[in-house]
Amino acid sequence: MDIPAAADPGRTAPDPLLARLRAGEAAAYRELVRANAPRLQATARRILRDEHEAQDAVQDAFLAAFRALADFDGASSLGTWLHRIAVNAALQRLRRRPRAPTCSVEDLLPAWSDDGHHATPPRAFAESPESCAARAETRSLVRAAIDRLPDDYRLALVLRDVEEIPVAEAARSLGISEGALKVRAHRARQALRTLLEPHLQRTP
Amino acid sequence: MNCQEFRSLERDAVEGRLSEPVRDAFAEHLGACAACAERYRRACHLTCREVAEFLHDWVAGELPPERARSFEDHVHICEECEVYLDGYKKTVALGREALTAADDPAESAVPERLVDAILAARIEEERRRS
Repeated sequence: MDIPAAADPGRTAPDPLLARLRAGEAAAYRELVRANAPRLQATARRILRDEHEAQDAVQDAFLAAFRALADFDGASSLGTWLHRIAVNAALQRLRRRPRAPTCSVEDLLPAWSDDGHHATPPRAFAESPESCAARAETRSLVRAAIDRLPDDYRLALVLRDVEEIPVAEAARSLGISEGALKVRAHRARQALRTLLEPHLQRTP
Repeated sequence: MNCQEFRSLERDAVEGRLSEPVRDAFAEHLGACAACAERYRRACHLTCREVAEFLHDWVAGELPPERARSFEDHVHICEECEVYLDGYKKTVALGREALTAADDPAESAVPERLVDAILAARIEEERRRS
């Protein structure tokens, strides 16, 4: 598995947990897993959309991290480092899956007239609703729309906009160029905008 | 007409919504003021389609300054692009919120047996290696 050496300029002091892990302290390992597993599991679920596979990916990730602990250079926080490993573990499992047939993203991109104008005028989005119930409803609508995106585009969106992985690293994880990743993330946002527009447009 | 008035009328001018006397004053200022003419030309020079292609980099703050200026000038005069840009930005925020909010099934708790399984697998691996 690809073990990234993620740089995190915000980091200052070395993690005291690291020394205990390197000393082989069992309690330190439990602490590390307990503290990080929920976030890593959420990340793996977002990528794999399958509970069991996500848990397997989390396990893959921790074991890969334990093996690489001696080489961990502290250039990022332990949490950031684990997160990147979990992303790669989940992607690796995703690649092993047979590819499901997907719809084309082209149908969800804006259409243009010959002179470069919007073929159909875009409609304005309403402001986010105030009430909790309405917000929850919107979230489930958005999740359903994200699930409709072709997988390559959904992944670009999840890695960039949700997991907030830097472009270079996300591109490397997906095995594509940085330019290609930016295009995919942009197309994914455009397609999602198209899917959301009829549901979230401002009522006159 | 001064530059500020000119700027406030640019969108209506593009959409053909100016009354005749205002249109004449607008044209007069356009002919007389090099700075306004330059900006107006830049804004009209980009197509909406090009603006849509620059969105990603503009949102990321990665558009070269010259191009960013054209982008912003275009959005200033083009209602459709402004509406599209606003929806694009809201889409990014909604996507993030939808996948990270507490009611997302992806955020539920980690079972203790997963923690135990991971720790047991580590010990098993160490045992095999030694």
